[in-house]
Amino acid sequence: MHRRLVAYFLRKNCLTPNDLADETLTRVSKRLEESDTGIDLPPSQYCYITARYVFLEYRRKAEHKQVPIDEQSRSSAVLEALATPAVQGIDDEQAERLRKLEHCLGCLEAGQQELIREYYLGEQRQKIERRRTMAERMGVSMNALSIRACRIRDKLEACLKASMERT
Amino acid sequence: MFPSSSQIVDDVLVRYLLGSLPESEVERLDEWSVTDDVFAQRLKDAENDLLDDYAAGRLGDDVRARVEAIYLTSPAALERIRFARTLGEWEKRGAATATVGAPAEVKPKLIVIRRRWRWPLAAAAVLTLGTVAGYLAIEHTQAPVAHAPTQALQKTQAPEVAAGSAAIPVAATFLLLPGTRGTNALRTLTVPANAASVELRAQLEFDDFAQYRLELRDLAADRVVWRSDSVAAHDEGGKRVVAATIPVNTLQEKSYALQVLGTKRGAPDEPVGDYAFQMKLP
Repeated sequence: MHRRLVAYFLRKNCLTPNDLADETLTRVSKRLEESDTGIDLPPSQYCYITARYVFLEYRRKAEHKQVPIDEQSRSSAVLEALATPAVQGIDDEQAERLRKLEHCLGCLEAGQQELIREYYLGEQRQKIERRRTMAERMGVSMNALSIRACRIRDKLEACLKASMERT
Repeated sequence: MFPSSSQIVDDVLVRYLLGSLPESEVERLDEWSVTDDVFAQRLKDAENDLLDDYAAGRLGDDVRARVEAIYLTSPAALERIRFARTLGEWEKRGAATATVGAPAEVKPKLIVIRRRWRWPLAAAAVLTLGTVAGYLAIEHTQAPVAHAPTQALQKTQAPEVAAGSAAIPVAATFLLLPGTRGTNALRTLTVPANAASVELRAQLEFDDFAQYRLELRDLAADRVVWRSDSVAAHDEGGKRVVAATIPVNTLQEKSYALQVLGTKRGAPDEPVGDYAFQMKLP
């Protein structure tokens, strides 16, 4: 649930999605502790309703918050660096990230590297067809394949992040 | 009428991610993104693909501008874009190698997997199995299997046999198969009158964890009504299965989903699969 809430706040363009997800779950657990009769809603739905309130509060606060000029220019600089990835060559940092990703990929279990390459390779239309074929070939549902691919991707992303932070 | 979560097509997911849907639709999808497992997974997949396309420069100007407006404003989202770019570079390198080398054919390992899974697929097709969360199917044994009694069952069985009762308590066993999206009828598990417990054996699509936990969720109330201890998957005719035995008195005539969660020390549990069914009691 925490992960889903983080994703929700990220999609809502919040700058501190982790904190907001924490806040949501804290409120939900407080409400559960205080309530003698329980909550007359499925827990996931109650989490969503609470998250919505937390988001609305966040948005109200954000409307009054001034963004420092250096923060704005930093965002613009990052945006510029990322905005033309297909045209630019690989810079030193990207080459370093690639080396570290390859190291992370080397830590995966057998077959996972092939799976993630096949799953994410190519353009959208090709991807859909390829994934359907993969699922059929492996005898699993598209949803199970998607869960597995996303899990490997999350693992890689965390490994790369940790690895970059260490340097 | 607004479609159900499983009817939402991928284009709508992308428009939702890009903030191009009307507010009335956004709210519904916001809710599903938190409350609906399958929808949340589809959304995550669509988002990864969108970021990959952005990082690879495959988007048109309009879509690209929207991605930048939405995703390049928070450090966490920026990190995801950076990762997408790095992953794309790695894939490009791999694709180039594959083109130079042998044709990118199906790996033998995967062929083995395909053979291994052919039977359950065929079984699933024959049984026209149902799913509510779009993920599961169930093979209902023709008649529940009376297991070799466990110690607990032996205790309850002895006095009844001594008293000449015909109702010897048994454990009714059901094998739950993973299934496919798109059907809507729940499979019914009919428990016989003399069953003291129900053993649910969930066939895994992937066995990625050393340990699992099983949770039985009341679908109408969206509430977990029973949890297993930690269990390991075992082999059954070449398929990996996790099993749990639930006392009959825990169950009611309701729709349930058996949720399988992969557990790892120091990490949150991860959903592996849902197997929904309708329970019919004597």
